Amino acid sequence: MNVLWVKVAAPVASFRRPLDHNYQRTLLLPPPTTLLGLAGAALGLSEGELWHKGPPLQGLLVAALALQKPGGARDMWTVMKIKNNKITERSPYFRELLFFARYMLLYGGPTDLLEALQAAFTDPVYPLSLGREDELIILEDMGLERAVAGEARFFGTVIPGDLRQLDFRWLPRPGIIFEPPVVEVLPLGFELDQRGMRHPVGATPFTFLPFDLEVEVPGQKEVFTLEALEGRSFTWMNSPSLANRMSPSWST
Amino acid sequence: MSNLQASKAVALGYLMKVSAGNINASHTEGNVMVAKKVTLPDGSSVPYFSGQAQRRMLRDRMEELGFTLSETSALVSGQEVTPPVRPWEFIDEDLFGYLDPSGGRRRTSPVRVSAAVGLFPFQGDRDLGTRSFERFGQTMEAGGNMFETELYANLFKGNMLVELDRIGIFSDLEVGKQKEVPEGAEKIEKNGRQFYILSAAERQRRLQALLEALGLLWGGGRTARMLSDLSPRFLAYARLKVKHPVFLEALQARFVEGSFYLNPDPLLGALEKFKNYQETVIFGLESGFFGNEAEIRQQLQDYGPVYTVHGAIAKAKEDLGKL
Repeated sequence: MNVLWVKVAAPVASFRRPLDHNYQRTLLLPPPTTLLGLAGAALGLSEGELWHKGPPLQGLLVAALALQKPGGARDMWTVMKIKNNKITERSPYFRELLFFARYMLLYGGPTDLLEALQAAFTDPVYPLSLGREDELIILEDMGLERAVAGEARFFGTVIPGDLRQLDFRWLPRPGIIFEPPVVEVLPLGFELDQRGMRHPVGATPFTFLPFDLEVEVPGQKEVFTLEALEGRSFTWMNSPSLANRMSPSWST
Repeated sequence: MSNLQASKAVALGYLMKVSAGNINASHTEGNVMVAKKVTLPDGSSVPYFSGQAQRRMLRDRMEELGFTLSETSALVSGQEVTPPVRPWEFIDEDLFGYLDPSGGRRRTSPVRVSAAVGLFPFQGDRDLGTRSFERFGQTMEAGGNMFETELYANLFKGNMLVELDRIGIFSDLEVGKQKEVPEGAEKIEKNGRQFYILSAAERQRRLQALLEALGLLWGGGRTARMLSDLSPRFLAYARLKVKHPVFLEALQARFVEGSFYLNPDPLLGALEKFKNYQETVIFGLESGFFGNEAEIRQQLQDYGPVYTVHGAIAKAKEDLGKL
């Protein structure tokens, strides 16, 4: 399978965990919908076009690897609270931000789609950002390469499934201080209602592995590597093998 | 088609100096007003101020330049706050976008402003203040509450990416289908969608106002006692055929014996990398600011003319005036 790899630097990025409200934690890596949204921005797709069940992005596989450990901040915002049709007070909330993150973003699918995407990343219709619209990224490098089988050893990436329910082995390295992995149930896409509001579909558990936590997952299928990854492996977040976990509205 | 019509974006990279300030405070810890800071993997931290804070300052400066700003919460109903959604009338709705939750109308900002990040570590400095009880109806002899504000001296790198092909152009997804074509706009249909386009002169005026506002930048919190001039000390302007924030990771400096030294290498690397997509490149440099001013001028002149910051903004406005 051909894979489009896109190396990016993100001075600021954030990926809010879906149920967080007053304290919005960030995931360490972009979730599948963010990666599809980034592709959609590059291609100039509206939300309706992007999340339509048919083409143009149907079948596009996504994965991401962190290339370094990022810095972090807890950013305070205030929201206006409404009472009796008046804005009466301000209420604080916190949002975690990642700073100085670098990622390898991976896209798999039909070659013509990947070539179109490669051209779009070179000349994007909308600016490229990971997270909110001001969280711009800079494209460092990009290439189209054939994936080969990799070893089921991962760090600084996202694997589908709940690590606690997977057969895994921790591969300790001396001198590191690592954060625990994060398991989060995330959508694989969205549906838009008549008002244009997004509704998540295809809820799937994912394990986000921090940069310093390496695990071996012998039962993990569909493990790949690329020359550009310099020995690291990845697995798709939204592989068709996940289809049975998706909601009917997404998989049909 | 003129060369300018092929332009899709303007990338701006700039450096702002804060001598002693806390531009964008976070929360309070006890009686300490905490500055927004990033903790790096090695445990050190650098201050930053958000893109949102810069947008607020830019809007305020535009108001001073004579533009009427929108009232973001023009209509409050139930739990929904609706902006006016008249970007042809309000420059800030045009440049900075809006969200109308009731009708699903949304304009993604064509001006992207990244957080401004300090280039040097935060040293833990604090300013001590007293809030007098006089303010609460007591006598001066009653004393007051002591409080502290974290503050820093730092050089901040900022970045902006402006989508030239969206300023002054509004799609039906952004403004809804209009019964009448807004005043000063022209309606066109493309790929089954409707667009309302302001005149070239108005679009230029708005872009120029953005640059003017950047050149006058100040604002944020605590300006009554910690006013900082945030107008750029260094500016890189590039009009581009692609929408990439070319200067996003390109500004680095060091501080040696009381002077800032701009490291030209990452900047030259970015200029070289995006060379094929650049149409105009202009630099602005505040005279006497950098210890290696001659080296910077000499290295940058192969890519574009180097003016004073004020001169560079004037030249950039002139460049946009040809649109």
